[in-house]
Amino acid sequence: MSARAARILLLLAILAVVATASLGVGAVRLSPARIFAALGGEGSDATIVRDLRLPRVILASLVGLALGSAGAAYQGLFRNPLADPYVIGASTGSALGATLVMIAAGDAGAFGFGAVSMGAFLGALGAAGLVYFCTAWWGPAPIVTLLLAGSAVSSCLGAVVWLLMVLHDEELARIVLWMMGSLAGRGWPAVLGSLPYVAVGFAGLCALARPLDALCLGEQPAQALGLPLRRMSGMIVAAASLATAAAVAVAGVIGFVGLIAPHVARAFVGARHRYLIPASGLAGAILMVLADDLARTVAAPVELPVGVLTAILGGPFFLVVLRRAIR
Amino acid sequence: MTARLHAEGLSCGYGRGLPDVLTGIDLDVPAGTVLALLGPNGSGKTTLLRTLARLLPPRAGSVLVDGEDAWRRGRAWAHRRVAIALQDDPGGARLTIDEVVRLGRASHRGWWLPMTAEDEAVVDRMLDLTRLGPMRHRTVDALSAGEWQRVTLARSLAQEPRVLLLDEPTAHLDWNYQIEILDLVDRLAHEEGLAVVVSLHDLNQASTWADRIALLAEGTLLAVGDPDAVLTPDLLARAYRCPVLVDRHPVTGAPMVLPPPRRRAEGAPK
Repeated sequence: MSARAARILLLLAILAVVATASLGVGAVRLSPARIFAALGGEGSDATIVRDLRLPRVILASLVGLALGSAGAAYQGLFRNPLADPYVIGASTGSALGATLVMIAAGDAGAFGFGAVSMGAFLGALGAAGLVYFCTAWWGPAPIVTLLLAGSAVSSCLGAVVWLLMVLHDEELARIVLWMMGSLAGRGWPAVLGSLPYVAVGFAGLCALARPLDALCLGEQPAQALGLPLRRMSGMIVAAASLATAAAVAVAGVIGFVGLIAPHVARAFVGARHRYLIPASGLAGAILMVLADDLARTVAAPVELPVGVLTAILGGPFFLVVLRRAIR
Repeated sequence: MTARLHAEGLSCGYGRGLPDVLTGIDLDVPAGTVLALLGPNGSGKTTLLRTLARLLPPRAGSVLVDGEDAWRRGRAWAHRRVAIALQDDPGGARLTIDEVVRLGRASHRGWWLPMTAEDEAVVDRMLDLTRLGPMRHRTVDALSAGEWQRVTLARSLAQEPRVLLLDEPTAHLDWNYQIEILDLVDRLAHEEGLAVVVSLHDLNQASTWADRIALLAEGTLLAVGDPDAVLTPDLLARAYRCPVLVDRHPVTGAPMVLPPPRRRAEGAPK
């Protein structure tokens, strides 16, 4: 086994430990012994762990996995260390798509299912595709161009969501929570609903590792290696958007996890996407579980929307990466 | 017997509505030879290389590799036979030298299948040829320009091409590295039988290392032939729009291009 495969297993082990410990975090604090007893037992501990906390921790892992791997793919595709689903507007596009479907259908009881997910996917695809084709069309552009294009798309789509909220105030509370990003109150149906989308998106990104490596060298050199540029970048945008949409449909807009995770992962396994994509997914999952723990406990008994928390913590990180990137 | 690389009536250009950069290019590059591409800045050297590499569609004419039309046979077919090392920089890529050179195998292995032992062997050989073996695990964002040139060359060689196109492989290199790269090009052509097209700025390097020289200027191929036929004061003055002197190399007898005397050399005020 190569050293890098071993480090991916190490990340997996860290995720397992963090996730298990998170089962004990909350209004009722549980020791590891009580957690393990509750997993197989009966009673109130079992209800808390199995019906409330376990699905939530798994869901946080899935959302983090999706955002982290999508972030790594966007950073490779755009050759830009600051790209992530949130920065380039894919998350907001996703939220708009999901909101539109929810309002049009009038009923979206279950998070993460069918039509809402499809709306989220189309929204993410549209926003990411728009930003990608803008920057590709404008030719080799400095790092800030992507950020500006992403921020323009994001504000525009975000404003449409706010508009929809005003026009449909009966859905106001749910949409607000969505725009802020939260894992509160999601149970097993949400886990099972989002699992296939996350799995397909993540597997697709893993399969696209070699094209992503080639794209790191630039579009010309990649084409000189025989890369069908348009087809491959289309597939990368589609897979990353599917992963993004899977996360947004179930948890709303959660920023910066997709930005931070690939940087953490690169320190572990280097830049080759064959290792970077899975490692970024795992790093994203770890970050997401930790962030959700914090969201649940930092202002207890009030629960913070986890998206607000990641934005507060992720903003400064973004500035640090930006400073390094433009020098 | 058709040449390994053959271009016929080629016109190249970018963008709709813009004029051709080059027109009426006819070229033959037999296997085992080096063709140097010369011409002033903006004469279309890189444009021609990109068209020959099947990166830029020709506006007219065709590119034949071993007698078959590269644009008709398709992308995968062409990039297994023709490799190009463009002038570029590693950008922000933090891949290792080894990982970059391995990407050259994608033209044979495709984008999905895992690398085979044969691929690994080719990568090892090309890293040795370019003397990159000992530093193969360094990341490319920290390399000097000369090291990156060698990485780009090794990556192109990992495609195991029959035709190798090099865009100014000696740019930004110290004198000793320039000679090293050109000696390697010489070996690749004359020992391994590649057809090599290399664009150069240095006329004397072309004279020393190329079997034949193609001189681009005024939007077309001004002259093509062996160094003696192309490196003449008349043709060079026409292409570069400045006077030159042509002498002989004291050892090889190849034509050597010298700058004219300074204008203020005789009697000019200081």
